[in-house]
Amino acid sequence: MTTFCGILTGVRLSIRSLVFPLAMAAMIILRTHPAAAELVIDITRGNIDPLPIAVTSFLGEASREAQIGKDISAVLSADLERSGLFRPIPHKAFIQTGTSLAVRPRFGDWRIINAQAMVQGRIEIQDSGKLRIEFRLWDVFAEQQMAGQAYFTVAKNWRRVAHIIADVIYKRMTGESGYFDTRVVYIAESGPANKRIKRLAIMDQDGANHRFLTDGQYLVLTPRFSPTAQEITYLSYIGKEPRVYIFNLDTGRQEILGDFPGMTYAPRFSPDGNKVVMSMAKGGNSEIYVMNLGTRDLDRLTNNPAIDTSPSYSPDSKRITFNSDRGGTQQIYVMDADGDDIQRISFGKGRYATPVWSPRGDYIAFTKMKGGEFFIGIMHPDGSGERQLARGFLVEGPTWAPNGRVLSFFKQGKRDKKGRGGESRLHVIDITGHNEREIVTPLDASDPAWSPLIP
Amino acid sequence: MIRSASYSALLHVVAFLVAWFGLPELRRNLPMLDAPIPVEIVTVAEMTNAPPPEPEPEPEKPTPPPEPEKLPPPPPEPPPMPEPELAPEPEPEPEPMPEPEPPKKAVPPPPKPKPAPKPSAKPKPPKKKAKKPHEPDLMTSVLKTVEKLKQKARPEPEKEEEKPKKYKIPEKLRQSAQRPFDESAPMTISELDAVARQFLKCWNVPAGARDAKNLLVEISVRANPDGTIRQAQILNQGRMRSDPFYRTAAESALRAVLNPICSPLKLPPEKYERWKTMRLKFDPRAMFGG
Repeated sequence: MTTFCGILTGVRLSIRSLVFPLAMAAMIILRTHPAAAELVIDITRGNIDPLPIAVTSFLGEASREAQIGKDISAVLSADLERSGLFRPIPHKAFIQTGTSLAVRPRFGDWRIINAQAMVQGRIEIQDSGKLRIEFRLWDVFAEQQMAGQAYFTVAKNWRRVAHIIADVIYKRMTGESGYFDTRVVYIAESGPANKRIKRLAIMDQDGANHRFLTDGQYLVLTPRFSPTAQEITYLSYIGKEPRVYIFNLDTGRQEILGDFPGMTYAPRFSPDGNKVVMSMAKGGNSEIYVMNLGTRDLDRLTNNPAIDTSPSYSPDSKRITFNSDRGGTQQIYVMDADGDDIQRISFGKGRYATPVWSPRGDYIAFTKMKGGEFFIGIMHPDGSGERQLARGFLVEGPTWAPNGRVLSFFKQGKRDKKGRGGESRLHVIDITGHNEREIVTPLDASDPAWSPLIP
Repeated sequence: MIRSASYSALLHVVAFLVAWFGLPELRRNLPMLDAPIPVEIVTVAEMTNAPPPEPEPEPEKPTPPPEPEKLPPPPPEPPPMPEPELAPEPEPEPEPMPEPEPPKKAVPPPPKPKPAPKPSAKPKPPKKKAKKPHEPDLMTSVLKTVEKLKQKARPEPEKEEEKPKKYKIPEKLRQSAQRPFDESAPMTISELDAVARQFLKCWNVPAGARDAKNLLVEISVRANPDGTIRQAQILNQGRMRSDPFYRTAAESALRAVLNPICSPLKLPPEKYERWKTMRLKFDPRAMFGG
């Protein structure tokens, strides 16, 4: 009997022990039920208008500090505006101004003028003469700080700091790394067509700090930036023979990359900066070669009676895109870095040339000639998604900004019968095909090459 | 004999193989006919159940055109203003009364009392006006008439709106406006669409970002009864921390929700229980041809 009772209590206990978790489960189900019926609204359309941003003048107590603050704000605003993704709000519209900006912003004041983001900063010249520049980026609607940094630098570097801050803001707001703290090297041209002077020139991406690197005594062509060091490769006709040179921007020295048996063209660095890939013509046949900069060993990658030229590495260094007429017309091909597995990727009408792999890896930019017109276009490395971004009488020489979102190229107008027109200028354009702008240069310009972000 | 038999056997085998391997092809083709056609089932209300405050601002705009025609009456009104002050006589009072209102943004009211009496309601206003002057205190009578006029002011604009249109439509509209909202009724596609359309102005889509097609952002929103946002939270916090592109997209969506241009959300207040908590799904796919 006792055992029977024991069994009964055991059963009761087990029932009791079951009741609690069951009740809990029921409660959970009941609680989650309303959540399941939660209203869901799909929002599939927005706008791609530039983001309104308020860039205030950076504050400084001394008048010199205040002036630098104003200048930095102006360079920063111009960078953001030029990207086409931001719309800096004019200072006249600001409600919160002056020294009140030294503290946390009054977000209500910025919401009224519909600023979605707001930048404030402060400049201080220290006893050592160095500048201390700090900035904060605020999300006006969420009332939160999105970024904030301070930089120490010599006073003449204020412009670079403005570009660096623009890069930080760009990256924070778009997720993509910026491209403002970069330089563009290009060929500056002057003089009559039959006696053209071509000089190597360099400037910041916004056209500031322009200077010439060569004196124009010798013809220079196809400059290319090293992805890792402040070095440029280019082709120069010193002694009437085209050779590939390397120019070091820090030291100002130039040296011959190598004495090749044939004519060398279109040199371009590998992404790690240790190799240079180029085309070389021997006995009337142009092939693609790669040279190890450490050992100076030269390897041939293609072997075909057709003209193979304009090689460019993929960002992972595993593939190379190049230009060849092996199929009858000039088309774009890709191959493994050792020259195997050659595949044609361009199949549209017209001729394709100068393929350049994006630093982001998702596109190959090219020049296309069709119906007497030139185009700058992009396509995926498998040949899909071909798009034309810019067109003109002559548009050529695409080069990527280091973030792979913006391209630069040069555009030459048609010269009329009297020899007027025909100016050649550098342009930049977004990969969406919008926001084409000119980079102002003192002379005619061609063959731009965009630097990586300055280390 | 053996040869023909072997031919026959071979042919049979071939026929069998054709039959055998032919069938799967036929089967493969079948799914083509079954190609799924995505159908979204949405609730479309039989009657537009739009809340009254929304239609009001729209009809107000069309009314101004007719006003100028009737405006000539108002100009004479300003002069009467001094009159009541100088000599507050009982009879002129009701007429000047509408005048204090125009400064209170109520331009429509002044013309209303006049047109109203003309078509139908002529007897009523005079009666009311007549009663008031009998009261001893002129000021109290003035105040009362002001109150009454204010009360009238609301229904009157509707009458005015109706006049320019045909008479049948406004009646239907009035009926629909008077019909009580069914709280249990689900949100209709037009109500949801109105909200989605509202965000067109506020949502700055991260254009051109890598993999923009896979940046679906969900935001959990708690709203106040007036349609303003009480709380908004990005749901996928884990991806927020690990993926900078997603963070950018998520923050842009959150900015859209918090954008004052999109506040308050145009949702029917009567269905507040339905939308006091909701999930907004920001999907940029359609904008990038995905």
